[in-house]
Amino acid sequence: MSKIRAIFFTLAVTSLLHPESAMDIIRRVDSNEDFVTQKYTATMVITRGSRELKKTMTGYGASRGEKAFIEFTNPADKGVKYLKLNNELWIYFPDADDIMKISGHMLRQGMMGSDLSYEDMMRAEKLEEDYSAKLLEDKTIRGRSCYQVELAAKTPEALFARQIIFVDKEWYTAHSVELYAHGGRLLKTMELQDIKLFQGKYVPTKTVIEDKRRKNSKTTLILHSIEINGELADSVFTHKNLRK
Amino acid sequence: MRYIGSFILPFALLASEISLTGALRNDAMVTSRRESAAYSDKLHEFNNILETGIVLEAENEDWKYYGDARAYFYEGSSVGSTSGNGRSEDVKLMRSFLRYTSGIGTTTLGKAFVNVGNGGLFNPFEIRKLVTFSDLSYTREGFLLASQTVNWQDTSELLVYAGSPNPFNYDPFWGISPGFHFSGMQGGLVVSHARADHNNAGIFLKGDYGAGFHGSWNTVLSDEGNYRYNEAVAGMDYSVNAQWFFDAGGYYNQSGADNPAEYETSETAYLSAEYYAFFSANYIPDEFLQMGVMAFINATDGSTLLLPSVTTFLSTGLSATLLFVLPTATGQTEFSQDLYGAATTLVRVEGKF
Repeated sequence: MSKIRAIFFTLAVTSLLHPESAMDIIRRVDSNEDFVTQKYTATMVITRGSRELKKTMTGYGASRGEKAFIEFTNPADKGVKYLKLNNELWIYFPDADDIMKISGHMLRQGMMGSDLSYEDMMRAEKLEEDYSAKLLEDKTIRGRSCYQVELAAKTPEALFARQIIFVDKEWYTAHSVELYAHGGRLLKTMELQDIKLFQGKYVPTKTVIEDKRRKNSKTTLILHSIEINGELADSVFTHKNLRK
Repeated sequence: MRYIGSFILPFALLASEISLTGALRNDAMVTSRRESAAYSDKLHEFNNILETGIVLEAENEDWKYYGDARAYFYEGSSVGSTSGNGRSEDVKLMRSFLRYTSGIGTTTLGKAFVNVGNGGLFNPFEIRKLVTFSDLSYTREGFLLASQTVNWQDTSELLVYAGSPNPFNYDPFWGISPGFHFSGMQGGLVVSHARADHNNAGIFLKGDYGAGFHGSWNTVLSDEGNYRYNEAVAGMDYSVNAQWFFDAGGYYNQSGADNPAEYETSETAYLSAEYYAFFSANYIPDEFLQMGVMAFINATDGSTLLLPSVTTFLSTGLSATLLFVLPTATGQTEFSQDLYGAATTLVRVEGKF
């Protein structure tokens, strides 16, 4: 018995001397964001100065972000649908009853004019696979103690050259993200707020995205409901469902 | 045609989800002329079009009903006489169809669009060819048709359709179009009959490898096979910083006239001459503002139509547009000030609710 106690004591002391590595933290962030399926309703508020546009949507996701389907439900955009299958993105326009593929340079446009680009939407990267990680000085964000992790892209194909992520020390979810271009310029910031626990996953119910290339502009995503790892038919993520 | 809606509407009552949306649009146009036209003694003509629309959607697990009805109120010199302005009204059922989604694809029955080829400006495979320069996103009126799409593993699609623009006047159209998409490329073939003596066989491609490109080639054959001509469109697009958008291309119609004295207009050709070039440059800094200019150049007679515009989005679903239609040439040319006026100013206010 005393030997077992000694082993536990040694492990505890070792973990204090060597706190979690940056990559361990990122693995736990990836794990918290992992899902088999998800279904949600949300509102996207695009703000420019004192003006704002509101768009409501119902979204579905599967295969850990490889598949996504979004349908806009507000009157001005009603019936506009997006389908993401791996690295391909399609849009259905009800006014034309037609489907268009978004690719190449068009992916850099803001989704529905927001600060969130189609490229951002296409991102289903696992941070652990695409970036190397380094721990910086801890910081408190909105009253929560956070690790500050710097990520550097391992390949030139990574969407951002560098990311700074502030990860909650207890929940292992990001509170704040800074995204930098390959030239070193700060491109976007994301503030992930009102984090709540849904089916074992910590999910931000309010996300504020600012594209730093735009002046006085921000996009707020407000999550109204989410169902994680529920049953979802494969037929949701098909071209047929766009035209349906 | 207007009875289709009342026939299909009862099906909508069985739907589990019903939605009704509306739109209101007003186009106020002033056309300035250097000299009075043959049909009007005024140098400044005013026209106004108020359009109201209602879209009804009713859907169930496997099927949906979609209906789009519009009412138009016209006022101005184009519906008046030489002595003054006039007024008229019109009601149109733009689309009214049932769509069933099965394991293999979608079946559409009713008054609907059939989208063949790449779509966009000067698509050679359109059944009825129409271009409205003051409204390039003009919503077409559907045709009475039956169509079936068959999807295979989300990499290819087969479209089969048949219908008629007017069921009381036998003038059927039909077609078959297999399409594919692979990596950054999509394309397909079209074999169709658009109307009497207009049988199409063609190919279309579209892709994006840093810059976007698209191209379509169509050969039109008469029913007897003793007359044929080619029609093609090709273009490229590129954007800078996701705010500046550029588009350029050309349109070729072998049946077009090479002499302005022989220009004709018909539903079988978008424009009258043989060669055209077009380009556009747009600046879209955000969701609230977009401004740009389009140009259409008739390469046969050298006339050009310039369309500068600015659109602002005032709030969710509400926008305002200022558009100018500026022909540069005079005399017997296609984009002539003698035909279009020296300048047309259009103010458009549009709301969706």
